[in-house]
Amino acid sequence: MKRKYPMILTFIFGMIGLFLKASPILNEKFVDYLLLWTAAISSFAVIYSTFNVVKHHILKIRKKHRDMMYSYVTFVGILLMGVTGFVGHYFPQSNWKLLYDNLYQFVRTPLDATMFSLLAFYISSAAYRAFRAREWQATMLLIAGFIVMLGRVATGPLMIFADITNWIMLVPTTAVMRAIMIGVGLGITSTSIKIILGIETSYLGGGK
Amino acid sequence: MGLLAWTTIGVILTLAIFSFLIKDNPLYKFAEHLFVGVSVGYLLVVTYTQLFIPRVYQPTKNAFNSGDIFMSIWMIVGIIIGIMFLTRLTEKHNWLSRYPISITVGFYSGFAIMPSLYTRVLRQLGATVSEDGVSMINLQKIGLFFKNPSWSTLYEATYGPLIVIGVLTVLIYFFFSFKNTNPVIKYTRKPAMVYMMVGFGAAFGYTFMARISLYVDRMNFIINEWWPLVRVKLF
Amino acid sequence: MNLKKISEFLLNFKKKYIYLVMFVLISTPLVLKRTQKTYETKEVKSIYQKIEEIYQHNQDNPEDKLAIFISVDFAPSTKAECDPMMNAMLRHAFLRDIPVLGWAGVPQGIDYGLERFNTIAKEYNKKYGEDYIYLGYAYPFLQAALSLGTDVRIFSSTDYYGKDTYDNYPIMEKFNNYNKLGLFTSITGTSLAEGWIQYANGLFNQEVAAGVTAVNASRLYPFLQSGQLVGMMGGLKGAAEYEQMVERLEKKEIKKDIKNYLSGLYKNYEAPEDNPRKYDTSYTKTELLKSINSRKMARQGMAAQKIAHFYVIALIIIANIGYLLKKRYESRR
Repeated sequence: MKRKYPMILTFIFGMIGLFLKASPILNEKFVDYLLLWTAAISSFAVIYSTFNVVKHHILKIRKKHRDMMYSYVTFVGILLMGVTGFVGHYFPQSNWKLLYDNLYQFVRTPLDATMFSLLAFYISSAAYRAFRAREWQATMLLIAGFIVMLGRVATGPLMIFADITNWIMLVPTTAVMRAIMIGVGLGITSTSIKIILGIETSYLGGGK
Repeated sequence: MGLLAWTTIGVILTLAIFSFLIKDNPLYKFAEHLFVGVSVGYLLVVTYTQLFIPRVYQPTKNAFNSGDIFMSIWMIVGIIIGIMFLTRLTEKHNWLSRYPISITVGFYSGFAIMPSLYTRVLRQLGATVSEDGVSMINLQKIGLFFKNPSWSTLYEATYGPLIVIGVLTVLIYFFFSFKNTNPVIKYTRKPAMVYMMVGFGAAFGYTFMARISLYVDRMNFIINEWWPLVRVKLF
Repeated sequence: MNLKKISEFLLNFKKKYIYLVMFVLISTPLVLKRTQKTYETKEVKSIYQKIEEIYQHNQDNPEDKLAIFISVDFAPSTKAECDPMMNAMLRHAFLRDIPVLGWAGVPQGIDYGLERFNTIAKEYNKKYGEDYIYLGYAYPFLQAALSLGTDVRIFSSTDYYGKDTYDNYPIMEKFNNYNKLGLFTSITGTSLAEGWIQYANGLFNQEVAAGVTAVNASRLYPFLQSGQLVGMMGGLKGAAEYEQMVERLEKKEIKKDIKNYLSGLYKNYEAPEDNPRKYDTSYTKTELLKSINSRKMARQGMAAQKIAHFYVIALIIIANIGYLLKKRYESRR
């Protein structure tokens, strides 16, 4: 029952999704109605994820982990952003909204952008340590990479690399990515059919 | 607090994250945990203001106000199904969360079949056969190259056949990746490798460019956004 | 020649020196405020030309105008590449008086997109609700994509500010489905562009353009060749190209220095009590500076990018020379 009924639901809604356009009874309005349910599910999914984060940090504090002070920082962040956001939503002309906007623009945005920018250093260090032209395939990959990297920033005498880069992107890269995409498209179709027919049940998670 | 003060906070937090490159340190840990907290808080706010209110609360309220019984029941059932998702937090009742997941996964899987087949397979196969109504393997263009050899006519003549050969050989490579002595599979392996290495090399070049851009933007923020503000305000 | 010593030296550069050199090399062109002119590719030019076609159509058919839709599908983590693209596109649309609709496909980009829309609209004195509108968060994605097939107000019954889109905004009365959109652009650091191609172009034949990070750009070339994408801005280079084209247009249309133009824009303007604009109608010194700098963001980045590329190529070549020397030394032993 705990797995059988959800699988039956998957089949029913999968069939609805598949035959939506073809059916005279179901139409786009039904999609709107159904997707309102997805909006409700997603809203509660966010609450679930918040609980998980809070639970993780509460456990850290309880176990007196050496980094527990930072868990308080996380809670301060959640409260600060949450309170200013909720109050700012109901009083849009107030200082709460201004504080919320500034926290988003000058705290969240720089932190988000900087976290990802560390990758620039890691990739250059990884390129130095790991990229070796051991076989002809690796050499080809490196040469193609060099040509594209030079071609994208080419000016003046380096413009020949720009022309070669253009050719590389429009011919071999297009061919390879197309082949991969066809494989992915067929994979999506087969996985979707497997899910609907109950052959693939990993989305239900483990357990009975 | 003025623009300069807030931008300075942004710069301090940026440098705190960069300090991780030297060594893991308390400033980095502070910034990291602050990021987690602020992100979760932000997600809660936008989920409530941009998702829950306009797409769940408002339609429910409108349904009740207008006396639409079907819609009212529909929305209440939807909210109950959403609440069932929260049972994941318990050990005993987390099987209930399978219902909302199965509805979502089932519908999206079913709906995605036709569009993804059309967009990713059929249209792409069609584009491999012809472009703008002209066949990809165009003997006229090949003839034009021999009549009037130049880089542009060579490009036009080889563009189509090279794409067709590339798509076919790489598809064969992926579909028949097990060891096989069939001559078609054996002899298409190397050309497929060549295409893939060139293609992935190009993707590597692009990936590298993307990563560097992220860092360039941060330095741009410090040098060309924050520092001019300091100069204007203080000097 | 002591192959062992040379190869060991070449293969053992410390991480901190690699990072330090990277830091110095990238900061230098930014400090010197160097911009890099870039060559323009066909895939970016086609987006520019498409918007020019929409402008021409609007000039020839003032009663049957077309709008453009910009979907802000990126988070601040990828704003380095996506922000200049969105800025350039917004500037182009506002310069040509093309109505712009927008929303965010990812929750992290909602407020960011709104801030950019309002900031760029301020530069051209555009009114919210008449010249542009921001519809908030486009979730569920499928519902958003399908709603534009009939009437987007069914899905976005309120805009970002919570006001009813049926009664309050003239732009929503005229432009609310794919038939009234000349172009749909997804600016993203994820695979959402493929989703828009799948649904907007696949089901409704809508012309779609994409502005994507370089990581995703190589994956979208097949869509360019098959005609499912009108054009694509790939990474910072794509953004720099578009920025360059729009700057040329801006110089031609505005005919004066940007600083003078922006300083004088709201000089004699008195905001009415029910100010429809979502921004202050005045420019402070710092805002002026920010606005001028944002016009060359991508090209300044390209100057630094050039040096970084040479640096990493040099590092990889040095490492491979060291590796070859080590192999030779080991084979001799």
